[in-house]
Amino acid sequence: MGRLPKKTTGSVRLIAAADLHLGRKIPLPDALNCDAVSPEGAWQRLVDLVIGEEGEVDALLLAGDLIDKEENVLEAPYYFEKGLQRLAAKNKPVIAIAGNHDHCSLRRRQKILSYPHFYLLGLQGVWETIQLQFGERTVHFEGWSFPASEFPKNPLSLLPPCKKGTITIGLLHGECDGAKESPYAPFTTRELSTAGRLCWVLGHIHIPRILCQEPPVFYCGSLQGLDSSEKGERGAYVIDIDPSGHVETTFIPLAGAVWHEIVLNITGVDVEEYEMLVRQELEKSISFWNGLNAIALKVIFQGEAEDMRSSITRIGQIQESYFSLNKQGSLIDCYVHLCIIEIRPKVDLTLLAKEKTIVGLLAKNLLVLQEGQASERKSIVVKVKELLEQSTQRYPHFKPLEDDGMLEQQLLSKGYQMLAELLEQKEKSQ
Amino acid sequence: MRLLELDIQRMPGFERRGFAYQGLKKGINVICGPNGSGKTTTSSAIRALLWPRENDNLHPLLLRSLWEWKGTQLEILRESSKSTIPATLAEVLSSVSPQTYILVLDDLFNSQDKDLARIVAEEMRGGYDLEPLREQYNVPVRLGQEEAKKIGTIKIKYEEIAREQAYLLEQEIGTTKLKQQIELAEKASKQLEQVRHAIEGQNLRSSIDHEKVQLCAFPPGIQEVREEDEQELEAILQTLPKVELYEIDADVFEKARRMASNVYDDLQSIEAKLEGRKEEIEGLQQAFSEHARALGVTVEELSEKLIHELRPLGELSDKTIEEGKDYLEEWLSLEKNQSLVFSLGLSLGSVVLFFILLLLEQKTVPTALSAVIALFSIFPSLKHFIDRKKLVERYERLSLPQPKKWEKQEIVLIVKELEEMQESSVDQRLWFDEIKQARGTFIDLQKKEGAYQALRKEWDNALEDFYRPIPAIYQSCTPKEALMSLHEAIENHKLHLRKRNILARTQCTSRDPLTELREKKRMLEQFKDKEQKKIRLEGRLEQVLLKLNDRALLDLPLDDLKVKEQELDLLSSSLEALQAEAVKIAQDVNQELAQKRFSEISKQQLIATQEFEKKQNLWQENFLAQYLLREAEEQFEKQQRPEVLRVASGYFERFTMGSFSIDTVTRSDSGHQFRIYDHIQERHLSIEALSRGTALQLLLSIRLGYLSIHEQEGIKLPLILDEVLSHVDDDRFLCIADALLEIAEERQVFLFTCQNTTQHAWEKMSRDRGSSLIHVFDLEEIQKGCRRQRAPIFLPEKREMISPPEDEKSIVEYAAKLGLAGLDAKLQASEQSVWLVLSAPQQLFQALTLGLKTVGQLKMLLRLQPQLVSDAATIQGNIDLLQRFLQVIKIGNPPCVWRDDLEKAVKLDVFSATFLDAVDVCAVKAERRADRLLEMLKEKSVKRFKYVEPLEEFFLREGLLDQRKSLTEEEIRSNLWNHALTLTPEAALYINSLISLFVANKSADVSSIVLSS
Repeated sequence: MGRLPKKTTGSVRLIAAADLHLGRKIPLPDALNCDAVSPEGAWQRLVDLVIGEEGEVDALLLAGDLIDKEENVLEAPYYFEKGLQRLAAKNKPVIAIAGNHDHCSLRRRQKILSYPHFYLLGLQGVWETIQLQFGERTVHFEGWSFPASEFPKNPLSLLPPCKKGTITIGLLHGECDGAKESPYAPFTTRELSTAGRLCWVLGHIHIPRILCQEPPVFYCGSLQGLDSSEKGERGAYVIDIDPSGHVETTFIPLAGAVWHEIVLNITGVDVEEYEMLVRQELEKSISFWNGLNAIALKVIFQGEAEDMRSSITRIGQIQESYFSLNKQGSLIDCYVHLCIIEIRPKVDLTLLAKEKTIVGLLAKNLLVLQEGQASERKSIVVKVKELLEQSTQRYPHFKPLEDDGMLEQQLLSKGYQMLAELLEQKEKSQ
Repeated sequence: MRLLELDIQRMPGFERRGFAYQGLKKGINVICGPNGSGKTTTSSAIRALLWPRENDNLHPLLLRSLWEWKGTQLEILRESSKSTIPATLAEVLSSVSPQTYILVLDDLFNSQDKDLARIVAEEMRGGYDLEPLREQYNVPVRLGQEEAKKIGTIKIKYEEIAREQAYLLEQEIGTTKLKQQIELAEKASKQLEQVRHAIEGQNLRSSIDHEKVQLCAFPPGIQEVREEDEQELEAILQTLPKVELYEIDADVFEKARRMASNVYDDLQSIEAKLEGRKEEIEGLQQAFSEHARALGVTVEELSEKLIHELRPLGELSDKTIEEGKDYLEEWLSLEKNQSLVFSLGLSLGSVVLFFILLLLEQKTVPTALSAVIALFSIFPSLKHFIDRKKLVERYERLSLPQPKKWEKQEIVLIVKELEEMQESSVDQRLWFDEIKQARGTFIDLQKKEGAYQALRKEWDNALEDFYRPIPAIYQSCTPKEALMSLHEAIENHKLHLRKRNILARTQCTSRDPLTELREKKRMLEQFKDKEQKKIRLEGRLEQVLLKLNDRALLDLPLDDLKVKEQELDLLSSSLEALQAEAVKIAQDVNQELAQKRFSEISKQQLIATQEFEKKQNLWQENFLAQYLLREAEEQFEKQQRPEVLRVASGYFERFTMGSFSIDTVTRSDSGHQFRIYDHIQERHLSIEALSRGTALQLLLSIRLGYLSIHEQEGIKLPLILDEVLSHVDDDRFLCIADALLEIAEERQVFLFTCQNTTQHAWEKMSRDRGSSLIHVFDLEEIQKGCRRQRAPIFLPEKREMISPPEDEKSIVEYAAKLGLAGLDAKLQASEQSVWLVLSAPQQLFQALTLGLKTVGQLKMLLRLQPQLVSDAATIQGNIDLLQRFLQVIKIGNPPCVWRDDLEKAVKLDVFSATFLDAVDVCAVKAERRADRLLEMLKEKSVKRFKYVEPLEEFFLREGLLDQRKSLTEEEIRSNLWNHALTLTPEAALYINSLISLFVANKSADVSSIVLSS
């Protein structure tokens, strides 16, 4: 768990988080400490942080998507409730809004709503304000909750004007600066920054990101990276409002597991040394924090391989393997969840492409994919996608990859593998 | 392009001495030789010369060749990876595939798993077999079906669980209503209780009222009737007189009685005394009358005589008389003394004189003298006075009557009388005695009578005292009677009072109170029962009232209350059921939460989805691979195949003397389908139906067809055919030979054969045709001609002289002499100097002679031609060791360096210094890590069950735990010391430290850690 900065006297300290997605299963094997790397574990740590003596936190703000699935009506809300119980025991107010994932599940579980100091704002689809007293300071919290799983309108159009002289913190879940037609309550940073609120705590986008410094407008990001697409640190923001009304935000990482990606160039590296290289690169590139239990690693292998076959075999061994890092006396489990093979055989593709053999033709196609014009590449991708679509008639349960870039990459990767294999045939035949 | 000379000095796999072809010609060069004579080596050498990039790491390789290219002679040298092939030529050659030009019969038919069609197709593509790739990237039809099905099943289950949980939630939400209902029921239950209390209260109240009415019917005062009352009243009534006049002042009476009682006792004692006195007086009167009789006088005469005449006689005794006489005499003598008067007179005169003198203020002798005389003269007077006083006192002491009345004369008379009596007769004396006794009796009587009278007076006073407090009515009574009456009156009064009390208490007012009382007493039991009942009822009512919060309910009409009771009873009767339902729902929810079914199914879903995605990914990747393959193939088929097939079909027809031609080739997913047309039988054949020889000719025709189409303009590389004509009959041989001769017009052809028949056929043909295009070489002859030692042909600019080892005993010295680099930690293992993995100087010399400078080159040689390397296994081991050590040096964290390695390394003294440094660093780190990990293990051993497995796994993975048996301390010591002896002082020091570390941590784990590091 991250350490909180020292709180200055007279200031109000709030902790803001969003997108807990309780109930979501992290696609990591059980061998990693599952409790620690789950959203539930992160929620526990968040609660620990709020009720901890050290930080003197005044309240917790939760900007929606606390529960992952609407149909998870019992178990995930129960986890949430357990945290609320602990917070309620310490009289810590919790101000929350519902997101597109939990617009219904929170309000359905009546028990949650009955917790003392728990305020679920804007349940009626309109902006709702509560005011809380922290010492001598009164802070208004204004929030709006998703009335349904989709809301294609700008919720800020319903926002009442700000009362002058009040300290108001806004909570909103939705898509900021995205498509205007977004079904997830589209709004813009500009609208938020000119709304006269002291600070905006946003949820929905899982990447922690500060959209505006003055006034602070930020996405809290998910509390725990939920899948490999959610790389990097995840946690909560500390909002300190000093007696003069100035707001300071600090990010505190809380996730038990981090999704991390490294790119390795294996040109000239012996296959036996890949593992070591992975370890070195990881240690070099990752930042650690207290409470980090596991690292889910995606390794992209690039460069030229002396021997494609043994390299691929080795990479295959590395994939789904475990190792541990000893960081400041604690062991961090590392799990290579994915190895992307972008290596190529040590051949001159241009030269090879000149061959009138099948290898030459393959090389030529690869050359187009690698260095060709965007339109050429595009046409290949389009064709492949069409064929894939057609192929789904035979494999109706499969769905082709949407991402063109990934498709291109896969084409190249497979092409290189085949090229290497064909060249190996040639070498063998000598 | 034509090969003129080829000098093969060294080729990997060719252990025989090098040989050289010279005078190679245009046309067909038939090279004959037995197996292993160097035919394949020759074709490999040509390939290595023309395509140096393809096999740039061949060791040992030393080739020289002379070519004719574009009208000029060109020398191409090759030494290991270095080649002198001109870049322009290399570029041209890179576009063609070497196997296009090399057709090896054995290779073609060696693959047993390949059918002919596939071989032909492969041939058609220039030797590439796409089938393995197709198989590799094949997407099974059912791929992912199972996973998708599983996802479906899980989804159903998931939805089911979600539904069930939603239902539970609904129920739980329902419990809010349920709670309200329960609250209502609870409230009703409480109200019901109240109403019931109220009803009971009302009932009680009416019962109490009823009892009260009944109690009132009893005679008054009944409750006050006591058990003893009857008896007492009866006794009182019997005791008290009928006339009731008892109204007395009880206090006064009591006081009077008390006072009278006190006096009465005195009165009684006085009376008793009076009786006694009276008796005594009567006795004395009797005795006196006796005396009177004796004296012959009446009592009155005697009394008179005694009172007036004889009174003193009796009073004096003889002794007293005697004493009296003495006294009298003294008295008389004293009276007769005259000096007293004189002295008195003198003293008086002197005093008077004195005072006169004093008055005259004569302080002279006469004054003094008169004073002295006065003093002396008074003295006899004083003496007389004192004597008289003493005499009176003496007299008083006598029991004599006071001599006041009895003057001295009388005494004298008496004395005289006495003296006379003493001298009188006996009779007189008797009489006198009688008189004397009578006189005594008389005096006693007088005394007693006097005392009686005094007592009588006292009695009278007492009587008076007695009667004073007595009420008037008893004044006439005797004291006893009075006292008794008084007592009786008081007692009666008391009884009266008690009677009055009883009657008042029991309120008996009738004339016959006793009967009334008896009646009341008879009814008392009944009354008490009633009253008891009433009290009980009241007590109960009190309790009920205490429970009853709303007193107002008591005032409601009972009927209303009963209606209300019925209503509430109905409501509250559902309470238990409602509570049970709420509890059941809560239990169900808790049970569901404990089961974590949703979490479990979500996990299953995730796993199934991951599995499915893997399959989907595989599908897509394989699909893409297939696509790329198909694309290339289709392009090839489209662009190249028709032409290749056309030319090939021509050759095939020619080779088979017009018997066969290739009809059509179709391609499907299962591969190519060739149809051959049999011109003799006039039918279509499948390719499998062809004989081996025909099939070979088909393959040859396709290769030639491929070559004719694919070769770039102006290259015309030599065609190498290895045993391709071995299955050919003579007729067809001629046809093929003709065709080849045609080809050889434009292209040099090398034909390798080990068969003498083939050799002879060619020789015959050469002779018969007189063709200058057929040249037959006997390889053995060639080699014989090359027996002389040829100067090595190193590439001129790279050529180095290697001096063989002389005195050098160790490889280290030899390497130092040659100036070879040592272990360089920055380099990869393959880049390290070769000597590091060799053991003897001679070995190094050989390696260098073979052109092997780096470990990588040696590795390549080992891979390609291990037979060239002596003691290959050891060297391979050393290479592995080196790799691991480099890892040690680089990361200080070897995956695993075993004890064996340590031993080996020590034996290989080439490593000692560098290796030990590295191991030292590693060991220090490992020690630290081991310490830290042990600490952690200890720390976490509390949570052993949670952490120990990953930790142990970690230890094993890190090579920090050795799974082999643990060594004893002794074994470790001896092993380490044995090594230490052969090591440098620093190493010995290090070993020492290891031992001390071991001793400090006498655990098997630590020993393993130390050793493994």
